[in-house]
Amino acid sequence: MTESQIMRDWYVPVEVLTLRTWLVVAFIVNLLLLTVEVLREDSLSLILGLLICVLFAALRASLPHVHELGKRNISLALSALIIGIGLFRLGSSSLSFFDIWMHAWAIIPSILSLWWLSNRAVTVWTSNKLSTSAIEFGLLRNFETINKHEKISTHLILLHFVLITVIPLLWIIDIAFSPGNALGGEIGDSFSTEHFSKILKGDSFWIWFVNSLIVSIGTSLLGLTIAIPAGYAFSRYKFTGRDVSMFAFLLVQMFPGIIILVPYFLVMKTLGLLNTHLGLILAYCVTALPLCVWMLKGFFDTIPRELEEAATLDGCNQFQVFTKVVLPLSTPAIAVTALFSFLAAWNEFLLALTFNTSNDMYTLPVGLASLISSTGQAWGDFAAASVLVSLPVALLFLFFQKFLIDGLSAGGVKG
Amino acid sequence: MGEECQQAILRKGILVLFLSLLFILPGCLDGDDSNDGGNNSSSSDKITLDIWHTFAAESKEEEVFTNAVKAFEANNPNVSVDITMVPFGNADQLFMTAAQGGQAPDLMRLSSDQLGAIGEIRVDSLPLLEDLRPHLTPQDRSNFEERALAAMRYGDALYGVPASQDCLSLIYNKALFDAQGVDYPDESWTHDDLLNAAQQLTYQDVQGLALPVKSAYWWFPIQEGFGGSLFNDSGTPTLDSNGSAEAMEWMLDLELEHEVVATGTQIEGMKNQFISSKAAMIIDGPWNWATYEASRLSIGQTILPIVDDSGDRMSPLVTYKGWSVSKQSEHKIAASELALWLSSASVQKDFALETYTMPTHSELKNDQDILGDDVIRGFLEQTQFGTPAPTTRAMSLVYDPLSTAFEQAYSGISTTEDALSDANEELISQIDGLQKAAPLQPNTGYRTIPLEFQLNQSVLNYSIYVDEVLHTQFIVSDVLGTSNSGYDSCTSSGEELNQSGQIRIIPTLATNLNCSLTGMIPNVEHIIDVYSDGELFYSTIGSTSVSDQRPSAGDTSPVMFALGAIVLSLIALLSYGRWRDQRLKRTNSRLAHAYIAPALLALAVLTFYPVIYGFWLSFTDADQTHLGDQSFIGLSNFWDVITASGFIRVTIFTLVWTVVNVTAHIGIGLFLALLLQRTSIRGKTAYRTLLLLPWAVPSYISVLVWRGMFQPDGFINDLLGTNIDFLSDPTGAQVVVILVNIWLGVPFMMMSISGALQALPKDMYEAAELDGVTGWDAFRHLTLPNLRSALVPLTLLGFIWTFNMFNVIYLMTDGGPNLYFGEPGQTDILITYVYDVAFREGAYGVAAAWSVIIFLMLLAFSWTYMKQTNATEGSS
Repeated sequence: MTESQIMRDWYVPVEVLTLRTWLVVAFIVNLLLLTVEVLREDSLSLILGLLICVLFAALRASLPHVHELGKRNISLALSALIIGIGLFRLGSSSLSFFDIWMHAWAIIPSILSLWWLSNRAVTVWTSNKLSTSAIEFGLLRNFETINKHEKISTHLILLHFVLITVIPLLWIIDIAFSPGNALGGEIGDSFSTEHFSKILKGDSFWIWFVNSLIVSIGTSLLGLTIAIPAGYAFSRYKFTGRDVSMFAFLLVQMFPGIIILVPYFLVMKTLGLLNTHLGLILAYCVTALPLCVWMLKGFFDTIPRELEEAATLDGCNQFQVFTKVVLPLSTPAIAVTALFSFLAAWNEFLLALTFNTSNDMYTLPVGLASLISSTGQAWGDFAAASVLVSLPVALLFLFFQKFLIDGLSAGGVKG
Repeated sequence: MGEECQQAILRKGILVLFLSLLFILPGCLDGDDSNDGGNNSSSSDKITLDIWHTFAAESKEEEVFTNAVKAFEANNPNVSVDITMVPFGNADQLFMTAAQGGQAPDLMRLSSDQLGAIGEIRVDSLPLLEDLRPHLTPQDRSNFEERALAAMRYGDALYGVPASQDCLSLIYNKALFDAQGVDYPDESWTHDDLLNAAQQLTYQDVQGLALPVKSAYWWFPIQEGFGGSLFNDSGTPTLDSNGSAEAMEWMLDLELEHEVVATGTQIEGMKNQFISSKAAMIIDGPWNWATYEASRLSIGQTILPIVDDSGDRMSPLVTYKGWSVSKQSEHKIAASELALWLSSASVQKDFALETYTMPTHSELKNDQDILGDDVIRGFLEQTQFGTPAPTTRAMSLVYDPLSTAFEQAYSGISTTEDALSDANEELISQIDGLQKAAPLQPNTGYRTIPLEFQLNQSVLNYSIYVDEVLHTQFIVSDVLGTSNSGYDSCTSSGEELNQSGQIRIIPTLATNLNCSLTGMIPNVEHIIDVYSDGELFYSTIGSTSVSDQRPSAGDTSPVMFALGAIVLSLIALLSYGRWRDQRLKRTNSRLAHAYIAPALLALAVLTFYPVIYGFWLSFTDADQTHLGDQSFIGLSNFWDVITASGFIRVTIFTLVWTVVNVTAHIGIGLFLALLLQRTSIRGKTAYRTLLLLPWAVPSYISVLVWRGMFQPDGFINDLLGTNIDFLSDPTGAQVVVILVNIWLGVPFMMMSISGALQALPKDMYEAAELDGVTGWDAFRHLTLPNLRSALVPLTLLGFIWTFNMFNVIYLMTDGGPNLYFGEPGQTDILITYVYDVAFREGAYGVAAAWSVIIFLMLLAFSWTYMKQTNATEGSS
């Protein structure tokens, strides 16, 4: 086989490459959107929607290979058909944002496919007039545009996920900034900062905040301090009772906590830890331990022993090996477990409620719950408090991403 | 360092542990002192009272309350009061936990229905609350409405002093009435008038009436109106009494047939409807009045209408809230003084005028300021037409079967008659199945001084003064009056005297009088003067030295021993492991046991005892009616669990719930992590932070917002243009709770997997690409195997957490919809059902058995999973 023949077999225009994945995605999304028609009990739309799904599947199947002009023309026809049906459905819908978005998922992929499959590169490729220079030119084009396509598709997918993730949170922000205390109304109809000023001016919020901060940071620190050695031991050493101990960490998570509140309370009372920061810190550490230990063990597993051996040969003792070699490589794991411990403590309600018998030890979740009176919820205040509670965590996420994204690369240490 | 050094370290560690134990022990021993304590409050020592309230933080009620407490402290310089605010939703559970742990407060604010729920509980064979009958004089009692006082009684005992009352009434939006030219409602309205007006007022997007038609609490007044009642005179449930089915029919038709009520209106939603002027009338209590006024609505209130068919007026359920003294309190006398103060006329008046809390004080019935406020007067009038809720355990159990009956009638599964009669049968069988507490032994003679004297036939009235304060009043007459209500005892020639209000009636021919004077302070001499017609008739001095009964709950010594035993066994095990390793010559793991010791110790000390206790409980007949006194009954609880109806169904749903959730969490999390990791786009940090937000926001509010979004008038239905009540359809509810939990759980998985992906060497991918391995193949053969060490624990822990995920289901549907009597709801998972069994029925032994079964299921799964994936393997 000559080089040009290899290239001929191997080259596919970037548009066709992209369409291969995007049409599958369009098919899946349109399939999922059929549930909307089912819920609306609109049979005509349902049938048309099904038809569109089938057509997308057919379109994907009829994407041409090299020299297959006929298939390309079929694809063009199918795309045009989908566009037609999509426009019809759009026209007969109520033209709300949601409807437009929904029908766009049928119309836009098909327009793209129609446009791309009829452009010069693809026409040349599927015809019999494919020359080597065309292939070379095409490969260059591929190289330049494939990244762009990848970026666009990533942004698209991420935007959709972000939208789903963020909608309820927008509601919460809206309620926090609306006057009055109702759970309803339109987004953005009125604006007021009364809830925030009420909460921030009162003493209670700051007391709760400080308590939560102390307890959560304490949990992170203490949790890491006792979980890291344990994770290391489980990862590196074979010793009697290893499997049993690892399993023991899981066991305690399995028992529903509701029944054991009273004996747990008594244990705390016996240890004199009721109504103290330390008591909660210890309790939360114990809750977070299973994940911390297992995650850290998993991470330590991925660090090759050779690195440690090399460091020992270089004259480091056990402790130095640990701090200079192992720890830096496990920054992502440590970041994840620290964040997890912090959040486990920050958001935990039941134990904080039960073990604290005095208001000045209340943490934020308990304080939040006490905004609810017997006659129903002050939604505005509650939403404002929730926003305030989430802000430090969001900031923490931003901060920790540095450790997640820029973990030290393994390259430098490898011999 | 040689082996000796390692051993030295281990020995040092053990020494440190022993030393720390030594430090803890004395601290624990000190703690027991709190259970002894004076049983009389001498006025010279400074006392601290602990009081819990449930008013919302930073609310007006809290302000009025705090001022009232300060006034008490000013008048009683030897008493200082510690105020603790507890969240309303958890108050009674918290009280029960604290009581069992010996840390209950002196005073607690409870409602009459809560008294019904906890009245039967016995800790160490004593109830949780102090019987206030010996603490109150007849004068004290005369300050309260009869009904109010009676509502705070559970059985014979008086468990609280009533400070407020509330009930539903009819509130209307004047502007909407004016717009349609409909006359305002008034007392002459019948239920047909209500329906007609509602129909006239329903147009465009305004509904005539806002009412949660499936809620039993709103059905009660209608049931009474149609002639039915919840219980008969002897306390037997009569949910299907005459008129009940018609009442339910009429109520459901408001939404289903006449459409004057919006589809799927819930309690929270109806408030929003009214606030946004989308409903012309609402049946609601005074508690939201301030909110409505703050939304600048012009509103009015009138009493609920009469039902034509029966001629009875709709009579809402009246519940009372008051102050209770805990049985554990060491300062019951001061506590009851505080309780009386907080329910006094002046404090109740403050509450009424500033927070629209309806008073129960008899003086305030004719108070000009109170009557001058239209709102208060109107609602007080409604309470006169209301029916006090019986303070019984049966009353607290009524809601569950009724909710199922409503679901069945609403969705047409059953007619209203059948649904109600099934509900009634279910309730009766539930009540029969409850364990009853042993009868109480009253503390006779406590705070009571007996008084006996001869009567003079010519005298027509007597008044007893104790220490110059009026105590009891008598008149001599042959009027019948009512029989003694059981608060105290006054006899003449062995016959109990009748009374009219709190005034005792002495028959004209009586010769002697024998009274037990309540409200006396023990170990103090009291001067008792009997006056008649203003002149001193008889005088004596009396005292009582009967002391207070207090339970000995919260004893920490057995716990201490258990903890000590656990710690010692753990150290022994670790040492054994170390020794065995030495024997096996595993020299490279010298410090292993020391490394895991802190973590294991923390785990063992805090959690082993409670879990073992939970296991032990499952083999006993532990029940809230005899806490601290359970006996071993073997496997009988487990049998009850396995043969419980709905057990298979709820287990299956739990498994479906868990598997779908974990698969989605990890699948979507992996997908997103890969996307963010492997593609080079700008704004990754922003995307990641946004995608992580569900984890940052407290799940309480986000789940409730999701619930709001799935309501018929919520966001999702707006988008779709439909009117579906997702949460009242079994499959719909199941799908929705799963979707919401997926939303909640993906961020954590995404972040953890991101972290794991970080650890993968990037040059691995570059090398592979040179070989032509990209995309899906690269994922399958490169990424996945290397992620295994992170994915395995994440899957395992994810499974365990999701299996026991309580919050989401509790907040979104509370296990509902409940379509079958006595069974778990359609979205109940095992753990939410355990909660019901434990706290609603108080059957702790059975709940513990359920928990053990959950535990065993998870154990089986984890063990198999770990074996299959060799999860405990170390690095190769």
